[in-house]
Amino acid sequence: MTPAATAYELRSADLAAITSDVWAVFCDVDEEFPLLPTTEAPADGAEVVHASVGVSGAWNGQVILELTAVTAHAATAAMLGQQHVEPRDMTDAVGELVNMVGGNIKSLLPTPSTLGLPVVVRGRLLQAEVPDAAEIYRAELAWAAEPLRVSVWTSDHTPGTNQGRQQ
Amino acid sequence: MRALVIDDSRTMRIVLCRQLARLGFDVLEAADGRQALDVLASTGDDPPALATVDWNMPVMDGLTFVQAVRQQSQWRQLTLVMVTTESEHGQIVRALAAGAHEYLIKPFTPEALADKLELLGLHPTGAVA
Repeated sequence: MTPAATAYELRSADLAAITSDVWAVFCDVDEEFPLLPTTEAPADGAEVVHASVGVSGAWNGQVILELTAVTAHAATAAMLGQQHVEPRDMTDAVGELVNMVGGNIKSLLPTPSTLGLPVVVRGRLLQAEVPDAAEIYRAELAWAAEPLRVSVWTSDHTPGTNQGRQQ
Repeated sequence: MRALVIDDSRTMRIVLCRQLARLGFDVLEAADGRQALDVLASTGDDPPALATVDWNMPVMDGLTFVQAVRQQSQWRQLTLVMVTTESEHGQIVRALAAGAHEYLIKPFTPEALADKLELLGLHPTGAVA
């Protein structure tokens, strides 16, 4: 779906590009598995990790990163430089990943605005929903064949802002 | 030469400590600005040469920490580098106006960190190739 109007610089492709940059520097230091576009969804019953960070001010919304626990574990191990990963390590690392993705997305949104602190939850096939908000952009990616999703939601419903999801 | 890494994310502290240690720094850590002020106070008359400062932290954020450091004359030699995802111009101007020397936008490579410190004239001995 095409947005009714573009009131700021963010594009759907930016989500993939920003996330790929973060992954390349922190998670794929050996350049083995670049993030690639995909249409795959996590398998039924897969444990997934949802991380979100809010933006408030001239633009209001959430940036959400969803990945399988397998991917979260691998990303955490890469960032820490060790194979043994505790659950709290994974929570912290994935929180930092969404913080970096969200912070860079924020730089393409109207200013001034403030980035919140990340929130991370784990579960089985959770479906991210933000109350009274619309998903406006989504990027479906895969890292080493494991699916990963980045989405942007906004609670701003004023005419002239981006509405309707772009993929 | 010592460096203080200030970040609420343990992961980022590990990443930065590893990179700074490879450059030859002895590294101290703090999880927020308040804790960092305590660490600095504990170093007495031998404070670190460098502090990397996350912007977005609970308890005391990076900008408030920079302002607090700049009010203390005994820490005037401390080089402050903001490490942040806040890449918008206004945020960077605020950090520099508050007394930060430089900024590094996340995600950054080890080479980008080394280049920034080179620019600031920070040359620790014992760097690991």
